Amino acid sequence: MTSAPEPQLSRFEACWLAEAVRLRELAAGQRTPLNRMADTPIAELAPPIVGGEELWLLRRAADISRGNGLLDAALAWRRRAGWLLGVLCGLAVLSGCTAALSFFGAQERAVNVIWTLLGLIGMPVLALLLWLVSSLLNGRVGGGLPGALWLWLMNHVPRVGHRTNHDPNFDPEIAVMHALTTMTHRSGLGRWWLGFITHSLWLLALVACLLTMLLALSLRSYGFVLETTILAPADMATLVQNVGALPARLGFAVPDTDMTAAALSGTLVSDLATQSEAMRRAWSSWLTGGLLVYALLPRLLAWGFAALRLWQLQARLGLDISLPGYAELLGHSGLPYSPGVVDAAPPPSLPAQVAAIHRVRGLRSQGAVLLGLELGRDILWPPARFAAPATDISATEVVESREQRRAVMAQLVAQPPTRLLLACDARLSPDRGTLGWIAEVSHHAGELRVWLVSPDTDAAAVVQEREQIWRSSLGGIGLWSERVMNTESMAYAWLNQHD
Amino acid sequence: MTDATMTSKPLCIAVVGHTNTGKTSLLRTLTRDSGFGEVSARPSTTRHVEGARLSLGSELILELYDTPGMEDAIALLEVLDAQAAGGGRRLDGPARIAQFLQSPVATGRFEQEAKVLRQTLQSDAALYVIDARDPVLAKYRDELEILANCAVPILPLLNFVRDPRADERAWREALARLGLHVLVSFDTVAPAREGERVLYEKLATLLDQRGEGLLRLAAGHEHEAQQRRLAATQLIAELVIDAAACRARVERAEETGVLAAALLEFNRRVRDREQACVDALLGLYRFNRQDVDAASLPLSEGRWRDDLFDPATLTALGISLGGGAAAGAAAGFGVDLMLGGTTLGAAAAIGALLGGGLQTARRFGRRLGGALRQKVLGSVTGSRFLRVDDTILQALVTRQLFLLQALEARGHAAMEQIAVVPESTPVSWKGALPALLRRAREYPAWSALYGPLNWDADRQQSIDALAQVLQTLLAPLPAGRRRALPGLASRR
Repeated sequence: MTSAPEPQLSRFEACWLAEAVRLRELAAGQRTPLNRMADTPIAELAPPIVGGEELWLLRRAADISRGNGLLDAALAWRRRAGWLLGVLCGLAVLSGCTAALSFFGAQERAVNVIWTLLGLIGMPVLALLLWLVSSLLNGRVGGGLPGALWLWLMNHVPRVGHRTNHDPNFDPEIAVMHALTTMTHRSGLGRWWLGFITHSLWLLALVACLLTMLLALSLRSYGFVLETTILAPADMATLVQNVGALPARLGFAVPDTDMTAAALSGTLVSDLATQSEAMRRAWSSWLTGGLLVYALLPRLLAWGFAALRLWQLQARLGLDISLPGYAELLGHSGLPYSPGVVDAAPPPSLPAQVAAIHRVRGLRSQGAVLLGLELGRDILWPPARFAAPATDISATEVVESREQRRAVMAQLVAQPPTRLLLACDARLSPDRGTLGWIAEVSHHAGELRVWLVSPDTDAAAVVQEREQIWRSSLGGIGLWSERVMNTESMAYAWLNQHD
Repeated sequence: MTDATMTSKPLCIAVVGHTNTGKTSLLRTLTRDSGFGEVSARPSTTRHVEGARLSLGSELILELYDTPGMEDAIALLEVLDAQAAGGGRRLDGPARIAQFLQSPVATGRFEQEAKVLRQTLQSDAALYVIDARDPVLAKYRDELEILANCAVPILPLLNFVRDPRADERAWREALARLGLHVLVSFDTVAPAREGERVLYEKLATLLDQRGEGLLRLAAGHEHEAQQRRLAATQLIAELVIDAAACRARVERAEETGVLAAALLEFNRRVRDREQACVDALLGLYRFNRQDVDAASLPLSEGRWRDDLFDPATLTALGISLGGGAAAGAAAGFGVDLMLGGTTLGAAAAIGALLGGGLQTARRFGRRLGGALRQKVLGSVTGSRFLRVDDTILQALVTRQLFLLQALEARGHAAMEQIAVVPESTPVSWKGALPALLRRAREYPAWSALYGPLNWDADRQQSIDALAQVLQTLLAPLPAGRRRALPGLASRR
């Protein structure tokens, strides 16, 4: 690990970078699948331990992303997100204050209580209800408008100090964005994150509104009025009582019927001055309670819920090490990719050679023998033409096992033939044992030739390929192609010559 | 290596068998590494012992050792029998093998066989690879008899079982007579879908308690296969969304050459995007471009041989062309020319554009465009929109899904490939697939063809939904549940 001062990465950011590196490596990996990112020096990183794979991947990703600009891009993104959020927070506070001041900043200082309360809580409550309804309808929690606004700004406000990248295939900023999208989508964090922003901004606005209102109520003197054109005074009183019932449980005052009546009657500024202190306090308390209970607390609940979910999801956030990219990486990193060659190949040795024809000339040989050597069961043996009693060819059974080999060898030693034809299955692979035995029997015949048998039914390409291998292997023991044949007629003609 | 990585000793399996039966190929397929060892059609290609490792996460589970082929079993068994008879004492199997390994022939005539036996003695089990196309010869029986002396469990593995010449029954009977009743069929070139799991499960059965890691490895690999397929369908879905959503605006399209140039550029971008997807798929399945080259996939140097915009490609894929297009279409076929967001249909517009030359297209555009402009747009004049036609989208999906299936079915062994005939049936254009793409068409911002993307959860959601649909078009993979032997606690 380098000791360069590095910014503290949250778990979220570490996972984010890991995802970016994974996607990058998957996209770039097709040329060097096992040695990805060889350009990045991460040799100092100790190999992963069982159970510690995730930490290893995170640290590796942090190391790599420091080198290729992903970390800078992620940090730039984080700065930008924070900066834009700050602006939005400022806007939220400002709008909260403005809302409060629009009701408490007027010159006449007569506050229409129900109108004011409706004005202050109307929008926030409506927005919360909309968010709730859309979340329920979609079956999943939505982001909300302010969150969407923040996202839109993130996408559309031009980046400051954005450098153009030289590599057309790899722009760290896009890579980081892509990784963020896939990761937040996979973990479900994205929606809750946007929801959290939405609730935070609303909460900020409401708190600012409440504080501004309290400030105005503390430092200025207001008279409180109730106005109606078509409603009966009794209805107004009931409304005030009902609205105040819930805040009253938290200790907020509810103006009694006298106060309601007084507020209804006093519409002139001169009347307001006569309102008692208790009455003013009761109305202030009623307003504050209404704002708190109907707008602020529900929003606080939603915010708390979003924060809780966000916290839970963040805590659960981890790397799925079975994802493509990780699995291969872990399988091969740290461990040497393979134990390698543990038992080296022996130096090539010269195989046993067949006897030269002139050397066996002196043999008291007689007749022609056809010998089938390790033939497939689908080859009829011996072929009818050779088995005919008219010829002086003796055709034996197919030779395979040690015992059969011994029996045939004894026979050959006792009565060496002038011509010995070994029939081999052209579809099999020649091996050292077979070749060695061919070389061995060659000493007990006037001349030995090999017939490569293949049924016509077989795929010509396969047979041809194997036949070439046979020919070169036989050449290796001294049987060159003039002593190797591949048709029955050639074999018969050679065996059946009378000399 | 730290001690922690060596918490448990990995299982050690020797891969043995006659020469040229596909031992190295088996290792390539099991390790998903087409670069392991050397493979050829010739016998005795491998003359050394080489190991490969398989791990789950970073936990090392299995070491496989590739050995040279046994070539002279008949003579070797004779030597072993002679040594046993000459010693005067009765020796058990491993002792006989040890005696042989110390004798001079073990470094001489039988050096290759000695390597096999030495490795098998050190291993927990041996996989005896059989070319099922070969007849059951006496020398193979001798090989098994020699190996049995090593006193490790032997699992015969029938390779090339898919070949018509393979005689699985004869081999089963012969092996049963040798007391080997558990065997596994595994085609290294085109492994069956569940082949790997069956192999590990049978091996685990032979190894009893020690085989537990193998079961986890098998389950882990199946889980990875599913993850890989999920990632692959997401790559394809992203490509298709990119292509479907793309709407390229052509300014001053009335001027000579502008539209044709834009069309060329548009085609190039779609082609490059498809190539990026192909590269990503190859990388995902750990194939190099060269690996695929040898295969009978319609790829050359990792590129599709047929151009996406060639009508012949579509015909080959079984996608029918619209009436007008077949007559006039040429290199640019399939790009849907849009006038102010209203499609005229690719067939008519592009057929005219390319069949009759640009002159026709301009007249064509003016005639139809004029009417539309008055009706729909009014202000948007002089600009045209290009987008990818449905037939091309269908071709894209068909081709990528075909590639995906071919990559899944292909073992990392193959040098020569069993021919995979491309299906001529295009992907079905009904139901959720075209519906999702129609939706994508409404969001040009979802396309990365002309510029960077934004953080867009809806786009990602559409990609996921499309990937889900694509998954349903594929044959299901074996369930990647984490299994454990009954009575054995899973360590995860």
